[in-house]
Amino acid sequence: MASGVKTRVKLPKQARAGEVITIKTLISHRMESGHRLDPSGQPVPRSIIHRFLCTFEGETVIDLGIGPGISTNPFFKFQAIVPGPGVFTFAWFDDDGAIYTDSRSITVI
Amino acid sequence: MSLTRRDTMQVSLWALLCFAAPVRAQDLFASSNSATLDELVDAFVGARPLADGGVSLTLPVVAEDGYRVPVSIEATGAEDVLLIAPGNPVLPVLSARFGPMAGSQAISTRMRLAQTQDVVALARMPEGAVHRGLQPVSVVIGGCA
Repeated sequence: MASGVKTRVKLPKQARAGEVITIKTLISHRMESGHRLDPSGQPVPRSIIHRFLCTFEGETVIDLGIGPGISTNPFFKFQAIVPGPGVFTFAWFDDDGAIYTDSRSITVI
Repeated sequence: MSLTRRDTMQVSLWALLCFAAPVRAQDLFASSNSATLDELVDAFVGARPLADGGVSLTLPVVAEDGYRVPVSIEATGAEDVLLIAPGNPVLPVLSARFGPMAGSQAISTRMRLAQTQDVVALARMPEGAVHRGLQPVSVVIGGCA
């Protein structure tokens, strides 16, 4: 599933030092559970995002293990501390070995 | 160099710790994982005390569409949480480990529910206890999970 994958991340561009911010992420992905049958009755092989990792300057914010029970186009909302200016990095790990990444820098006011 | 009793003790302790280490996420969510609810809970809890409450698990009471059910888990201070759907083909749905940069021990997402069931959330606390939250959900149209 290397085509049609698009990542979206929403977080404030700036924050006060030490502030807790809310981050929303979404990746467009079929999340084929591996339990469906195609019209000929053959099982459709599983193809999902099985892990999501968010870090701030190398330190983990949240590390998710994801099963086929998560909906199509996985959406996650969580909170992070902003100790100072830096870069948030986001990584989605696909079953096919692909890793989709995104990053956002944040400034401190 | 001879092996003292202390060496032996240390080696066996390490072996025990490695053996008791939590299951890797990939294995936990593999479609071949046919673990029952009790087995999953036992594996997550280990020898720790299990108590109800302390985890806020928010789901709609009635889910119109089992393909997209909004779910929020909050367990203030937790190290990690595990979301289980006992009525789905693959029971473990989501595990979350909160790092030092986490602003709260909360996660919101959307899940599939194959049928009406009691969704379970477990949270491991740093002091050793495991908290359990339960939320019954009526599913109108089952999402093939």
